[in-house]
Amino acid sequence: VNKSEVSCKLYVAGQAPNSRRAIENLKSFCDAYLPKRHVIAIVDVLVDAEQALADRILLTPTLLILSPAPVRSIVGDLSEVEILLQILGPEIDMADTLSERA
Amino acid sequence: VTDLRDDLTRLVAELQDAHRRLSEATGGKVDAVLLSNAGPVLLPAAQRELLRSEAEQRQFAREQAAILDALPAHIALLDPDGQILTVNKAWRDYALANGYSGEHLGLGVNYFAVCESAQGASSGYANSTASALHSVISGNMGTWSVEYPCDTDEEPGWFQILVSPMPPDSGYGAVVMHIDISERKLAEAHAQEIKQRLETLIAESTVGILVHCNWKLIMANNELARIFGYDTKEQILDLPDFRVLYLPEERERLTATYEARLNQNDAPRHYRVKGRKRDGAVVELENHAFALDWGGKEVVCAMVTDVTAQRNIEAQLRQSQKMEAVGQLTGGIAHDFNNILMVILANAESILEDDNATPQLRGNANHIERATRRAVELTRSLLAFSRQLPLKAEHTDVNVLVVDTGNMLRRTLGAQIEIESLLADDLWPTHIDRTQLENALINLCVNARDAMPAGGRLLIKTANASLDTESVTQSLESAPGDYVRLTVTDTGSGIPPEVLGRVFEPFFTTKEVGKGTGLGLSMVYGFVKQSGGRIHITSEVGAGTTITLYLPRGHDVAGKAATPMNLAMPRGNERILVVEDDPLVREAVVLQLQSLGYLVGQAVDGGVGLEAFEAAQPPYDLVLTDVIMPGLLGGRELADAIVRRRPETRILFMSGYSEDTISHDGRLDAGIDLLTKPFRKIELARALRKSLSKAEGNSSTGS
Repeated sequence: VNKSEVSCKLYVAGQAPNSRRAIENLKSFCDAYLPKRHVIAIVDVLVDAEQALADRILLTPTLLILSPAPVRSIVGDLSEVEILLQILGPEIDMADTLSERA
Repeated sequence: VTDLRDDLTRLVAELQDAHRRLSEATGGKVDAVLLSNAGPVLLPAAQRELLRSEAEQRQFAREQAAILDALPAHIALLDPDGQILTVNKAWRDYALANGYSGEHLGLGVNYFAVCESAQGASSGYANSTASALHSVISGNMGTWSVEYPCDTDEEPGWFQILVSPMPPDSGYGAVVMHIDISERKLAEAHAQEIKQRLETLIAESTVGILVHCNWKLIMANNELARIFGYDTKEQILDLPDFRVLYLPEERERLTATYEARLNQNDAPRHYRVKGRKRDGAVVELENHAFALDWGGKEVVCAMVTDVTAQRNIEAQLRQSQKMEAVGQLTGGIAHDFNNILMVILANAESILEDDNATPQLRGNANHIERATRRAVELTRSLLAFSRQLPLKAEHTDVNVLVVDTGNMLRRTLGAQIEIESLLADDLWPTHIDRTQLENALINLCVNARDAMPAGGRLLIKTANASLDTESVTQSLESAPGDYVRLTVTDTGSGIPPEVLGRVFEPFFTTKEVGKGTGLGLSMVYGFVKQSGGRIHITSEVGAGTTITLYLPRGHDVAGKAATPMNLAMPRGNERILVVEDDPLVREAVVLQLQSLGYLVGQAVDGGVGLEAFEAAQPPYDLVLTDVIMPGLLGGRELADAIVRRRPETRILFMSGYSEDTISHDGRLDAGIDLLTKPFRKIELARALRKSLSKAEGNSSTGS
C-alpha cells in the first residue's frame, strides 16, 4: 500500500544556531524515515515575516506538518527524534526504512 | 555624563534581564519571537551567531571573488532568465579592451539578448550557444561547449565557450565561461603545417624511407615501393613481414643487425643489402638505418637507396679504364716494334732486289719478308685496339661495303655457313675508315664461323639508329645522336656470362692455343671507339651471339672515289732530306730512297734537319720526317718551320703511330701525307710521287 506524501514547512531565522540545527535534523529524519516521499519548504522569517504572521507563527524554528491533515506544529531544533516519530509514526513505512538500512 | 552612564547601566541591566526571561520562557531551543506588531525579535544567542555568520559569508564571498578574478577565463553567472548576475575580472577587462563600458560591462545585461544580436562569423556559434543555454538552465542538458573563431585586427583568435548549470539552491541559473584557446589553436595549426610539410618531403623523397617495428612496417614512402617494384606504398605496408623484400640469404644478417641495434650493441648505420623486386629482379641497396623513439615504442628507420644502376656504371667504368691501360701498354710496344720491323723489312727487300744475291740468300730474305708481314699485321691490330692507328675516314655506304665484303666472305667461310643480309633501304652514310671497317666485319664473321664448327646461320643487318639521352646514360663513352647500326648475329655456341665482359680485352681468346691471337675483337673495339662509335655484345650459351656496332652518321655528300693505283714502282731524281732519330731506320730509308734514284740528305733530329735544309743549295724538294723525335723540334714543328721558309717544299711524315701530333681525335687532318711504319719500298715510292706531283701542280720548281 502506497503511503501518501508528507508535506511540511519549516520556519527559521536565517542561519541562527537552532534554525540551522532544525534544518539539518529535519532533512536527516526525512531521508531516514520518509525517503522520496517528502516535500520541505523552508521559510526564513528574517526575509519573509508576513508569511510567518499569516501562519500565526510565534517562535522560530517552528515546523508545520501540513499534510496529511490535520496540521500540527513542533517548536524547537527537532533534535528529539522521538517526538517526530510519535507524530509522524502512522506515515512511516517500516519496509522502506528497513530496506534503506539493509 | 555620570547621569547618562547610570541611565545606560540601568537600561542594559533591564535588557539583559528581559533577554534572560525570554530565553527561560522559550526553553533555549528558539532563535526568534514573532509578534504581529513588532516583527521578528532575535534572541541574543541567535543574534550573535548571525553577526558572526554574516562576517564569515562576506569573507567567503571575497575569497570566491578573488578566485574568480584570478582565473584567466571570462566568467559570468546568469540567473534563470539569462540576466548577468556577476562577472569576473577577466570578463570585465576583455569587455573594456574591446570598447564596452557601463552597462555593457556585464551586470544586468541579458545574455540571451547578447547571443541573439551577434553578427558576422560568430553569429552561428552564438545562436547555438543561446539554445544550449536554455537547455542547461531547464535541466535538459548537463554542460555544453563549443570552440569558435574570434579574430582580432592583428591576428586570428579562437575561444572556447563552456556553459554549466548552477545548483538548485543557488537559483537554477548557469555559469558561462569563455576561454582563450588561440595559442593552442595556433600551435595545432602550426603542428599540422609542419606535419604536412614533412609528409610532402617524405612522399617526394628520391630515397626510400621506411619505419618498422619487428619487421612490420609502420611507415613507408612511394619511392620505397618503387624500388621494390610495387605501385603504391600501401602494398608493402600490408606485408606481415617485409623481410620478404630481401634475398633469403640476407635475412639472417638483417635480423641480427636489427636486434643488435635495439639492444644498443654495435650495429652498422650504413650497410649494403640485396633486395628482390616484385618481378624477381635483384636490386642492390644501400641502407642507412638508425633506432628511433616512436610514441614510446622503439623502432628502426631506414633510408634506402637503389644503387643497382650506379654499380653497373662503376663496373663499366672499371672495365673501360682497364681497357684504356692495356691499350696504352700495347700501343707503346707496337710502336717500338714497328721501328724494328721497318729495319727488318727494308733490309729483306734490299736483299731481294740485289742482283748479286745467291738464290739461297734470296730464299732466306723471302722468308724474313713474309714473317715480317705477319708481324706487321699483328702490330696493326694492337694499334687498332689502342686506338692509335691513323684512320682515313671516308664517306662510306655501309650497305655497299657489306655486299662487297660478303662476296669475299662466302669463299672464306665455306659452304657450311649460310650468310644472310638484311640491309636498310634508306641507310644513312657514315664517315669512317673503309679498310678498317672491312677488317672489322671480316673479323666478326670469322669469329662467328669459329663459334659454329658444325655450320649455322650468319645474319648481317644494317639499320639507322637514333640514340637518345635515356639509352646513352645506361652506358659510358657514347653520346646521343644518329648512328648507323651494323649487327652481326650467329647461331653458334654463345659466350658464357662470366667471360662475356672480357671478350674485348686483347689476348683474351676462347679458342684453342694457336688458333687465334685474341686480337680480333680487341681491334674491332678499338677501331669503333676511335671512330666515335660504340660496340655492344649480347650472347646466350647454346643460342648464339650478337655484336652490334654503332657508327656515327656522316653528313658529307659523296666523297671522291679512290684514285686507281699504278702498280709499277715509280722512281725520281728529286732532292730529299730524311730526318729520323733511329739510325737503323734512317739507314734503311736512305737506302730505299737511293735505290729509287733520289738524291738523299739525312739528319738525326729536327734541329739538325732544319740547319741542313737551310744550308742546302739547291734546296730540297721534299722532307721525309719522323713525327716523334727527341729535341725541341718534333716532326710537326720542323715541317711548319720549313714551310714558312720555302712554302713549295713538300712534307711527307712517317710514323710508327700517330697520336695527336699530326692527327686530331685519331683522324688525319686533311692535306697531311703520312706513311705508317713499317712500309715497303713500293709504298714509299708511291707516297713520294703522290706528294711530289702535288708540288708540280702548284709551282714550277719541281723537276
